[in-house]
Amino acid sequence: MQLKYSIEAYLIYIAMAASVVGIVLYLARRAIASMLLGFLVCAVLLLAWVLRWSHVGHIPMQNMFEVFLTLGVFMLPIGGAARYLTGIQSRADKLGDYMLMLVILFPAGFIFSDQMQKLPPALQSPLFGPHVAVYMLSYILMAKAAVQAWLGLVQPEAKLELSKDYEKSAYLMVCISFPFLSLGLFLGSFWGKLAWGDWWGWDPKELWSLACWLMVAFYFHWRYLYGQTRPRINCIWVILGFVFVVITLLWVNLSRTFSGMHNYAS
Amino acid sequence: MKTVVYNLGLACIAVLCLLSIFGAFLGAEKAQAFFNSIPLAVFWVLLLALLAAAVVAFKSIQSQPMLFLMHLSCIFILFGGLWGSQAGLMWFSPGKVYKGYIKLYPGQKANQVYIESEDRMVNLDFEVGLQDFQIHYYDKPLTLLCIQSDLGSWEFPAAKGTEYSLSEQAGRMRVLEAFDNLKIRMENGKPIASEGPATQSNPAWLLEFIAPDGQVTQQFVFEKLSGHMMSGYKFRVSVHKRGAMAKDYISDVILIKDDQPVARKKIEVNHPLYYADYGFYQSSYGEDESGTYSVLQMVSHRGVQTVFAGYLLLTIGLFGHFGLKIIRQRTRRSAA
Repeated sequence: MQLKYSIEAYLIYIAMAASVVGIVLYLARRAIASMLLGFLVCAVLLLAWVLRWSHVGHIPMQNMFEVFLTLGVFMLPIGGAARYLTGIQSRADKLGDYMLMLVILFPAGFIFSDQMQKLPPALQSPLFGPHVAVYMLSYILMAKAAVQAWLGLVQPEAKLELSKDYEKSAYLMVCISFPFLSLGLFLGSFWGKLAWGDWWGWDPKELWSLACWLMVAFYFHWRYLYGQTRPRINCIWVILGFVFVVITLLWVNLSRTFSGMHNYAS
Repeated sequence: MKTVVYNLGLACIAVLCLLSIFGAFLGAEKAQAFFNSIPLAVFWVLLLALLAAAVVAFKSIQSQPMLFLMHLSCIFILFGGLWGSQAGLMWFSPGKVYKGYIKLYPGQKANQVYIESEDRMVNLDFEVGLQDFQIHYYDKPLTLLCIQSDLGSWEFPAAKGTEYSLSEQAGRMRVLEAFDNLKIRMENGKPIASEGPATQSNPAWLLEFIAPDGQVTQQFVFEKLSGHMMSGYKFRVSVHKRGAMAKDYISDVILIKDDQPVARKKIEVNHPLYYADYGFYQSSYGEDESGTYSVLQMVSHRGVQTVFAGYLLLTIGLFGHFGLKIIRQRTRRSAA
């Protein structure tokens, strides 16, 4: 863990501090002030993202620092859009977005190296940006779904209806996430065919991505058959799906356990 | 019966999920062998049959076009994947190449492909020729001259005006001239080396070797003929690039069948050449004593169109099905 001394890093630290203030304001029931601060956080992170883009000369999604910066930029706008689309207006969801923002920005600010890298030939593809962006979008929605699912799971037995409400919110978030999760997989597969000749290479990252996709597919089928009688188990599947997302995004890229063509992403 | 099919489907998804995780720990090569093995082939066929049974048996799938599309697309993907897989080719089209590699030096042709998984060469009914091979770097790489003779081998930066001591027996070597685009013109019947227009490239160096007895010999070294030893030359000199990251590498490839060119393209990563049922991909490159070479990958295309058609149908189905669900949910909440 270390402090960084680049402009992008300073902007990340400002966004983190503003997020903390945003949480405090929200807890103090100053919703409008908190929302305005949310806009400021977005603007600051967007500036950091644009600066990074101009510094590296390509869309900043190559290494973990850039991926997490991108996640930070889109966290609050996607959270707001998801609330608009699903009609979910719970305080927990809004607060959850700020919390997730801090969780995302922390490794970008203190852990991952912000050293600039040149794009290897394989990444010089028009599919690079859409492939990563679509995955980021679905991952943010899966994270939001996992927060809702967790809240549904930890409710006491007496609050079964509240638990069901959270479960329904988690389900709606997964409903938005799943098409993008699938599209990310397909774009990656199509790109793989163009770049390496294989639409499916059995690479560890590909297999973990498939495991994520199958986990969510399993969840939908399970919920259709048994969902009405076992809402808490539904929540467990959503959380497990998000655990798979975290493994795909972090463990596969950072650990030496999974060697493969996606390792340069770290 | 429907419950059995549904539960079997659920179990198959769970098993495939667990197998994917298991495969991730194996690494790509072993995972490919595992997922192409006979027990897994049985599993894939069972999954395909279950999907087909679900599409036929469940009215709920048939009555919702998007849901129908989603399940139908999975059949497309699975079928295309099985038909074009390594195992599929082995069983239904033995002898057809699934994936192989061709190593070529500029100017060279080959009609054989190396099958890495079987460690053997396979003859092709056409020739693959490498007209030219270029590497573009982000920064200018350090150019090194690798000198070999019976007396030893040495490596030096190819900078004009520099002089290096080889050994007591081999003497000294001096880089007299360096050209980005060497051109030879004749003046009074004598060949004169000069710098050509910058629009073309023919990197070359004029080296001078000074033997311990004082005998001086000069020889030209060409990057494009790296490692080539002309008659009368004492040292074999090859050119190597070090320290710069490749931005792109491009092979100008021509395919020849019955002495007629049938396809030609400058292949680079993300820009393959398609011919017959195969794709030709820029895989890698390297250097050895004979110079810089390009490695092309030849991959079968069988089943790919079916898989991609499945992707398209699945994307439409998913966005349609879940998009409608979200719109209905929003309408319901607004009404409430």
